[in-house]
Order: sequence, then structure tokens, then C-alpha cells
Amino acid sequence: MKSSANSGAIIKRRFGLVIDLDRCNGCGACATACAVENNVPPAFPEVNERTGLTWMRVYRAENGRTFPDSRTVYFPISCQHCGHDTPCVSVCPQNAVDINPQTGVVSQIPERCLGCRYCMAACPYHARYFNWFDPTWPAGMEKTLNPDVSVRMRGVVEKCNLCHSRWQVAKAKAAAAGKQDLDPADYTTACAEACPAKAIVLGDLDDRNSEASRAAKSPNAFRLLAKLGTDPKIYYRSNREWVRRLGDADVAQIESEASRG
Amino acid sequence: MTNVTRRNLLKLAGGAAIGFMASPMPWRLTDELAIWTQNWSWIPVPPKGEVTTRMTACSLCPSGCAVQARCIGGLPVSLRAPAGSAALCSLGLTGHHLPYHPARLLAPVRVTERADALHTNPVRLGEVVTETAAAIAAAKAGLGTVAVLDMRPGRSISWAWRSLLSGLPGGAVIAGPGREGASLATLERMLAIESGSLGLDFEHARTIVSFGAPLADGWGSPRTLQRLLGGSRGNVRLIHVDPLRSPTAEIADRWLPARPGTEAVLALGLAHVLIAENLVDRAAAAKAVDFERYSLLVSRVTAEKAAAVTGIAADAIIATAREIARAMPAVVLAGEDAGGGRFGRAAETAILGLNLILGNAGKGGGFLARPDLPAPFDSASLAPVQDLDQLPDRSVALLLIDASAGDAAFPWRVVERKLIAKGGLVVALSPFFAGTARHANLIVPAPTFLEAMFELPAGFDAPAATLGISAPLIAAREGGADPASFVRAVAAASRIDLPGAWARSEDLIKARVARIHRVGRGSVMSIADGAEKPLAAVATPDALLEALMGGAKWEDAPSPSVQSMKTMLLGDAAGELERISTCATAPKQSPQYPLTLLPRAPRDATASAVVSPVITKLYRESVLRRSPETAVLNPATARELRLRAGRKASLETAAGAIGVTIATSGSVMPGAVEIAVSPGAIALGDMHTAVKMEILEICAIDESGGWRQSAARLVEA
Repeated sequence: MKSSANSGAIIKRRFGLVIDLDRCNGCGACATACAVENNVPPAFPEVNERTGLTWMRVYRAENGRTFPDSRTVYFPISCQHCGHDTPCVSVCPQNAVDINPQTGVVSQIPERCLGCRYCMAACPYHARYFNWFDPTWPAGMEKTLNPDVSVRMRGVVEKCNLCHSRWQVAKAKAAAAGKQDLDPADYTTACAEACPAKAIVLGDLDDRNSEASRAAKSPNAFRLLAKLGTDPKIYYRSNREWVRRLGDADVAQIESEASRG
Repeated sequence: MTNVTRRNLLKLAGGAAIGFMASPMPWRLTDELAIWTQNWSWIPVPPKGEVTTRMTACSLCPSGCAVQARCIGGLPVSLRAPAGSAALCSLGLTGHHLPYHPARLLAPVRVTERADALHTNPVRLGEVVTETAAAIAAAKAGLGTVAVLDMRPGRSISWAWRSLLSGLPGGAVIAGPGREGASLATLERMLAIESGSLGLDFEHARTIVSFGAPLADGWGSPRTLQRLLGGSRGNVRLIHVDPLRSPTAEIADRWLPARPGTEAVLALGLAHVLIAENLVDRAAAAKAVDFERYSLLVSRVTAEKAAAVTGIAADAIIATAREIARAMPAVVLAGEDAGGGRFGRAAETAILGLNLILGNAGKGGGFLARPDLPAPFDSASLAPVQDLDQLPDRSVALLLIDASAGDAAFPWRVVERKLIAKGGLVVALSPFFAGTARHANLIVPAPTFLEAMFELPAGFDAPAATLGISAPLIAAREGGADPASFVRAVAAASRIDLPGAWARSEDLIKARVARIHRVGRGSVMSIADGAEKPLAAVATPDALLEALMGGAKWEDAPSPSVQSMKTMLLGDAAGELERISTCATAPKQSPQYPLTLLPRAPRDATASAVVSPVITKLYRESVLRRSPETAVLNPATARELRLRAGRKASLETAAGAIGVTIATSGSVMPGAVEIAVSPGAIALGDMHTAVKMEILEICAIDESGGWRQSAARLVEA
């Protein structure tokens, strides 16, 4: 669904991801592609899973049963791009977090961020990351950085923005072609593009014709911690009931399961 | 006139302070300060320049995936799969980082060991050539043999190595141990194929029976995985045999968790059911010269007996055999693991023998004959290509390692025991001071991915011969050496005449492309637009080369059927299989080593000596992939052995010990210890952390040179 605001110049969309957990094999290509696309630096030697920067992080969770009845699911978790009562937006003292009215994407503005990390404490999905170190790459590797994304400094929070730079490029392409709106085929996220199993789909959740919208409405679709009422725009799908039940589990629980494994 | 009093001054100051705080100024200052602190001179600035798109192919593993590179100012800043092509793995997505990897070598080095640490000292290329030639002279004088360990056999450079070795005592090219598709050599011997090789027709298979092939972890062509995971899976069924609840087990229709080391018994048990229920292909079975002996042997391994040994229920074994026979064509694989290597000779023979009785050889959806690619030049004699176990122990005086196009993970001991008692001379061609090259005495830096033209012959599982070329996108670093030039220099210093008029690797590749063009068979598939045209329509060899450099792939005409008149179901493992067929119980664990150590790895962890430092996202910054220092066992096993999760422990085998952290998971078979063979600190770009002993170095080596499982114990620190 497209709706115009004011004079009709702004086209509002509600972009989101639909991730098919029954297809995900935990290869990690989404996490790698995300880091390359968004100039997320490699880890310092002292970094661990608590202090790392992973805009897209794949967790491994088990069904709690033992061999040979044990089953594993891989859960790619990024910022869930909440739509209502977005916890990180409401707690930021700097207005460094906002929701883009054109895309529905929760944006992080590192230049405004003071590094207080209230947003990290507020996020129920543990999807925000703090730059504990200056971003550094091995000598020469800075030549491989994506010119469309600026590098963030130590002391600020960062997170998934659904590849905002790609959206900008798609919008510019549409404008150059004299179109008011971008072509959905021109905009996809790095994680969706890299997934070898095509388990991740990006699309306008309000567009009834988009694959993502149809998938999000399927009976096996669910959202993480939907009970909180934050209206996330990241949907998950699975035909396995125990996997769908994980949607109501605290992400910390999934994290601790993964750490034990 | 108003008196300026102390009180007035204080009021003014207080008012000013309150006014300042109420104004936007402090917030603006804070903002500016925040922005200022985010723009230090040492913060990297992304490059600027003209944006272009170039096509190439990934040379980091044998799959040779098509790559679309986004370049800024001519340098690649991101790699992706072109539309319609198989997606890239984590290694491929970050391949443009590798030329800048901290372990990259920029000059030849001599490796010395001081205080348990390896050090490198620069040497001139001429010195390396002279020392290599001296070792060849010594070998000629009878002090040992010369061998080349080729991590990616089948390339044109392999012919150059084989020419160099052809006149030398015992000269042989050794294909990298444990490499993917190595088990096909066993099947080729069972089929007595004299020329060409076998390919796999996954596309038309209705059943894939995978004994340990980690299909979901990057085994074989990515297209197979896409077919299994994607919406087009259709009616293909996957039966997976693996003691681990691996990602492949997760996507399998049927998972058979056979006890480690009992796969041969399971294969014989399946053969028993197939023969007993008359489900075999009679015509194919009749070709086997040893069918009677084979039938007698498998008649001893009933489903019940196989169940007792493998831990798989007899009903499941019978149902699986019927399921395979019902959904033909089926392909049965003895899959190599990127960390665990191959099954033993007996297990491979028993597993692959199922293909022969099912009639999968030479049938669509099974194994197809695949003619070899044309050689780059004619040569009167070439040294043979062998498996490592065909080489006598303590025989090699000079070992040349060609890791220029990739690497593999294996215990160095399997190679080391082939060297003469004094150790011999080991010279490696590798872009990095990492991986196998760390065991060399001298290292010559070869170009890495995107720095030079690399040849991409078909992967082992391709149904027909193919050739792609990985075109260079950036200039090679100074100080490196072209592998073919090195071969020429060594030959010249050793006064060995090499056939062909080539000087560099590019010349060899161009010569092979010209020969393919001369044969005129097959077609050329463009990656950019997906168009396919017959090779005959490509006017000149240069036009073919240009197309291949632009990301196109040449594919041979459809393969003829396997011309095999006589087959051997027991291959060269008859004795071992006789012994196995008489065992009635599962192999007993010794009380000293009550656990079975299972090292495993996804392909992208070991296909190259190094990975991009960004891959820390998978290993260090999350727990998606386990570190090599985490030993995972079943909670019940941990309780039984009084081991606690999170505790430090020593993982010990008869070959050594390493320090690990204990973790528990219900997905691990009771009695097993799963451990990941994953990139170490150096491979991830951390050159300052001390190198620890690698897990593979404590694995037991079996009779056929495999290290898939070892008896082990865990002792809490």
C-alpha cells in the first residue's frame, strides 16, 4: 500500500525482512556480507561475543532435547525495526535514533550519538552494538571500504539500518529516471542478496504484491517478542512449532543457549 | 549610577549560566564535540572514484563461482554473485580483502624456529632456486625422491610440475590429502577407468545418499545446496549418514547417526538388503568380477547385525535400502570433510560399491564419465598424480608445496612421515605465511585471488568438463613470483628441459584455452547475460580467452556413458572388508580413551590458508561458529565423566594434547567430542597472538592416512 503525505510528494513504505528459518543453514554469509557492505571493522584480539560488532548476528538454538532427538535452528537477528513504542527512540537523549517516515526503518545517527548506551539497555532484541575501539582495518584494507557508508568512531552505538545507502542509491536511480518512487528490484539488503538459500527477503510489508508482504502474512510467520507490542518489521517463518515458540523467548535465553552450545 | 556589588555580579553570572543552559548552545557544542571526536585523522576514509562493475570468478575454492565486483577507482570494494548465479560464501564475499591480509608475504622468506616460535627472514628468489636445484641434484644422486604437493590438481601448472618431475627419481605429484572429491579416485579404480575421470549428475538424481558429505557446509557445487535448500528441491530426497547433527543432517529427509567408524558396516548392511530383496541392477552387478565374493561377504552383514554395530535400528536400515531402490537414480557419496578428511579405504569401497550394484555408474542422475581437459602442451613423459598413501614413508628429500591457488586442512604428520629422516627440504609457493606453508623451510610468495589470472577447471562434482578463468582485478604486489616462472627457473638451474613454449602461468592457461578452441567441442556460457553459444561460433582462441576473462565458462559436450566392462566391488580393500564383515559388535573404546574425537569444518574455513579478518564476525564476535578451542560433548557424557561445561580441560589423544574449554550440546552423539577445525589467530589476521597447537596435530592417523576420528579423553584442568 502506498500512501502520500501532505502534497503527495513523500511515498511512505514499510520495509521489512522475512526470514525463513527452515531454509537457513547457518552459513553466516548474511553476517559477513553485512559487515562488508556497512564497513563494520574486524574484531580486535580482545573482543568477544559481548563486545563484538555484528549488525546481523546468527544465533544457534536447540529444541532442548537430547541426541538423537535434538534439533537445531539458526536465527539471524538484526535490529527488528520496531514500529510502535520503539524503545530505543524513546530513551535516546540526543535524538540520535529516529524512524524514517519514508521507509519505516529505525535509523541511528552516529554523529549525534553520545555513547550513553541507554538504547542498548532498552532494546529487547540485543541488536545494538557499541564501538568500544577505534575502527581499524589491516594496512591497505581501507581501500576496500564501501564509499557509500561512513566509518563510525569509537564511543557511538550502531546497528542495522536495512542498508540505508542502498536505499539512497535506488532512490537516486529512480530520480535520475524521472520516477517518483524506486523500483523494488533496485533495493535489497546485503544480507538478503548474499543468502545462498534465499531465506531472507526484503520488501514493503504494506505492498500486497511484494513477496515479503505475502510471506509475512503466512500462518507460519511470527515476530520476536511480539507480546511487547513493539510491532517489529522483521518476520520469521518456520513450519516447526518449537521454533515458532522461540519467538516469545527472551533473546538473552537464545544467546545463553548459543553460548552453551 | 548603579553600584556594582558582589551580589550583582553573582546574579549576573548565575543568570548567564541559567540562560546558557536554556539556550541551544550547550547542545550544539555537545553535538559539535561529538562530530569532532568522530573525525580523527586515523579513522579510515572510504575511497572515492569512478564506480565500475567488472566480472571475474572466484578462485578460492574449486567451485569457481562467478563474481561481480564493484570497483571504485579500479579497485574492488565489494564482491557479489551476478544475477542467476550461485551465491558466494563468506570466503568469496570477502576475497577482495585477502591481498591486504596481515599474513601476506611480499618477498621470499626462510622460516626458522626459535624458542618454539616461527620466524621469517627475507631471502632472494635466486637463493631459493639454487637451494631447490641443489636438493634435486641430491635426489638424483640417490638421497631420496622429489614430490610436489598440489593443493588444486588439474590446473595447467600441474602439467608443468609433472614435466619437471618426470625425469627425477620417484617424482610424483601428490594431490592434497583429504580434498573434496578424493574418494572418486577409489570409484574410478573400482570401475577400472583408464582415461578421464568421473563426474556427478546431481541435477537428475532423485536420491542423494550422503555418507558424511557436508552438503550444507559447502561440499561440492553451491548449486547442489541451492537445490536442496531452495524452493526447487522437488522430489529429490536426501539421506544423510553422520554421527553429528550437522547442518546437512538438519535438512536431510532421513538422518542415520551411525556410530563413528561403522559406516562401512552400514553400507554392507544396505547392500545386504538390496541383494536379498533383489533390488539391485542385475546387468550392472553382472559386470562385477567379484560379485559372488561380494554377495557372500555382505550376506554375513544382516540388517540386525549392522544395527548392533552401527546403532541404527534394523528397521531403519531395511527401510532406507528400499527407499533408495524406489527413488532411482540415486547417487551414493563417501563425502570428505574439510576438517575431518576422508573415510578410510575400506569404508570408501563399501560405500561407493553401492553405486555399482544400483547401476549408478554411467547413468544420468549418477556418475558420468568426464573426459579430461586438454593438456596445455604435449609432453613425452609426465610424472604420475598420486594419493599421499601411495608414496613410501621416509622417501621424499625435496617436497614442493603448491598452495598458490588454495590450501587444505590436514595433520602435517601425514606429510611429514613421507620426508626422509633428516626432514628433507620443503619449499612452498604460497601468498601467505599461514596454513601449510608454515611447515616449509622456504616460502616463495605467489599471487593471490584477484592479483593474477587463475584457472578454474571443473569441480569434482561437475557432470562435464568445464573451464573458467579468474581474471585479475588489481595489480600483483611487488616481490612475488609467478608459479610457472618458478618452475622454469628451477628447471633451468637443474638443467632439465621442459616441453612447451611458456614462461608464465598466463602462457600455460592461454595455451590450454587455444587447445580447447581447437577441439571445438562444447559451448560457452556468458555469466553477464546467461546466453549460451556453441564453441564453434567463437571465432578465435583470443575471443574465447576474452570471453572467459569476462566471466564466461566453457562447458564440454554431454559426457558419454562410463565405458567399463569389468568392475570390482571390493576394490583393493577386500581383506579389510572381510574382517569388517565378521565383526558382530561395535568397536570398543579403550578405558584410557573413552571418547571419540570428531574434527569437522565447513569448507570456507579451510579452503584458503587465511580468511578475511572480517570473518571474526562468525568466530569471535558471535558464537555461530565454534572456536578450535571448544570441545563439545553430550550433557549425558559430560555427567558420566564428571566434566562441567565452561571449564578448561586438556583434550588428549595418543598423539598429543591441547587445551580446550568444555561445552555441552544435546546435538552431539553420546561418547563423541566434536571440535571445529577453524581459522586460527594468524588466519584471521591477528599476528600477535601466540600460535597454539592445532587440533589436527593430535588426531590419530589410520592405515589409509585418514584422521576422521580418534580415541580421546578430556581431563579437567
